Amino acid sequence: MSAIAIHGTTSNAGKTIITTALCRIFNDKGYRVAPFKSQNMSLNSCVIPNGGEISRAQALQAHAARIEPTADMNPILLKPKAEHVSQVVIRGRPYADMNVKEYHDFVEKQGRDIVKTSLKNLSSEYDLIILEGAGSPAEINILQRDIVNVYPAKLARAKCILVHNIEYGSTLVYLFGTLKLLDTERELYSGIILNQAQGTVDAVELEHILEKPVFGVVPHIEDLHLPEEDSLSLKNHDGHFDVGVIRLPHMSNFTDFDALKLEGLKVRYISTSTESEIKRASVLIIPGTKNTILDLKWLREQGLDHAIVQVANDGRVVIGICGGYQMLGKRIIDSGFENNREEIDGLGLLDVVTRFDSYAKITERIKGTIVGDGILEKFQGEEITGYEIHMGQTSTSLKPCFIINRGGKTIQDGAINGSVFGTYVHGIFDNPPIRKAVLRAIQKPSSNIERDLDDEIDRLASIFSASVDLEKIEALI
Amino acid sequence: MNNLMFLGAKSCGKSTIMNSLRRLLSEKGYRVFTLNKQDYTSMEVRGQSLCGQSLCKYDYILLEGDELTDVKIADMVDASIVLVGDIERGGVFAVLYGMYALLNGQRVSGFLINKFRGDDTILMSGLKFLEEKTGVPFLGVIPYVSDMDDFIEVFRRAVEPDVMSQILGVNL
Repeated sequence: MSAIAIHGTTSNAGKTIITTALCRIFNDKGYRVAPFKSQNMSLNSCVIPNGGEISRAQALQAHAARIEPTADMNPILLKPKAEHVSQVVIRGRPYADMNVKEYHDFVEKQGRDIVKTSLKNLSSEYDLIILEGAGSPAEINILQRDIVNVYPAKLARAKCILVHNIEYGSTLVYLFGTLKLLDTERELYSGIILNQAQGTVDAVELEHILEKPVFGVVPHIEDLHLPEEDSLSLKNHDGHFDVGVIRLPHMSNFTDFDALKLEGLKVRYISTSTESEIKRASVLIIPGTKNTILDLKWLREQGLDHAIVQVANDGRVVIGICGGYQMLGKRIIDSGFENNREEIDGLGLLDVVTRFDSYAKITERIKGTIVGDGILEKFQGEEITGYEIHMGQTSTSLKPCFIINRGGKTIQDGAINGSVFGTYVHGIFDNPPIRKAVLRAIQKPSSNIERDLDDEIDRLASIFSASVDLEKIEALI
Repeated sequence: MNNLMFLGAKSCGKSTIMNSLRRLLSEKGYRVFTLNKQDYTSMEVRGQSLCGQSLCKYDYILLEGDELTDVKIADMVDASIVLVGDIERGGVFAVLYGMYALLNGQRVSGFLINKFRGDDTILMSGLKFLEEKTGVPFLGVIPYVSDMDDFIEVFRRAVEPDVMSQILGVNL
């Protein structure tokens, strides 16, 4: 059995797609090849034939290698549950929920044995294993409990290739620093691959300083649709921008969007209508605010009102949370409880009216069920949790998003109209069904150019083959 | 008093750091001149030199750089260099040590880590390792800030006052 390990100078170096490409290329050449990644953190898991689950990235790579995925290909899967807590899935089966400290202790005690067993299982079945690393192999603060980079590479006697994403800049610095810090282990590295190049790259100076061959320069691949891969699946085809959050002056509850990042979505704040981000956003969120009316006026001053309506008219997803929900409505009537006595038009995207006619403020944790249609329809009946903090009462003619239980009473929450919805529930994206609904909705626009998965893998493999010296890589085997 | 260049890869946050330090120094009554990469690149294009600026009326010149070749600007104004690493994308020790080693340590007076999430005790062994390997101190680990309005306060709390004061030659 031979092994090649793909390590990156940073995360998002491109390890996953390079591993995918190599799985396909070497399977085409007649090798029995399997992917391996000791540990993956992802909410995107995939059910394998015997019923367990592994990261979707390794399942995709198995598909590229034309084999069934098995738990050994990703023996440790971390599924983030809350801040600093993950469900730890060992060899396909849920093992326990752990915080960071508990997980580190667990890895120190058992991590290496788990990795060893799975690598052994794979090596008895395959000619070639492509090991994907995680993060950078030169994180000197955690080297002693490394189970993802140098440790499995040494176990499998793998020849390592170091990948750098040129988009990040400082190419020489990252590569040089990584190899230098690895000290004697730099001997494990047979060469370099540069990724995401736009334009030409002078590799001669790099080879001279690094004393390692550059196997190739892989271009940035437009429009690559590999839906199972975390960081690729959710990109717009023209860039990396997914979710725009309107940066209201009195914005509250900043943590509402963190869970979206776990899905690999890029979240950016938007504060002017001229920003190109608003044109590229697949999802626009108007967040909670401590002052709805003042922020709505600010929105108009910035010209963001027209921009948001345009996004909604384009069929892209617009979500209002709490104060943002109130803004999406037709009218807000303040009887002098939020600010002064006044009435103001909302953005008019949802047929709802909000009244501030008492100081009553709701602050409560809630549980509920999805009942909305539009982009929530597929997830009707799924349960959600969250919390409410707001003043104001909202009435609507539209279908609610949720039926919630608040303090023993069952009430309707929110309003939905196609791809636009609003809700009072904070922490709404902590609920997997809601994230899935958003992901599903934003993958739609690209569905017209969706290609067959195997065609896409073949396209990746052929671009990769054309840009690297495959003979040198095959010589590592 | 020493001039200072913040050197780091693209979007590591060095401009924000430079501007925060400018504000902190201004609050103390110092006159500070900041020069970002576009400034001196366009000056170079126009054939102007830094020395042509009447810089003597400033107490401090703060600069940013993202390539090793930018160090020539630090040479011009005799600035010491703080290396900035973005930990969000990983490889932070590699990028810091890579810069240090490729510069042969010249002018390097401190390391700074930006955009850290979580409990920073996990980093300690790495910081210590790099400090011992290079003899260059860490100025601090700046937590990830989602609201840039909060950055200056977070920065103020994150930097080691003694190390910063020593690098700047002034009590901050």
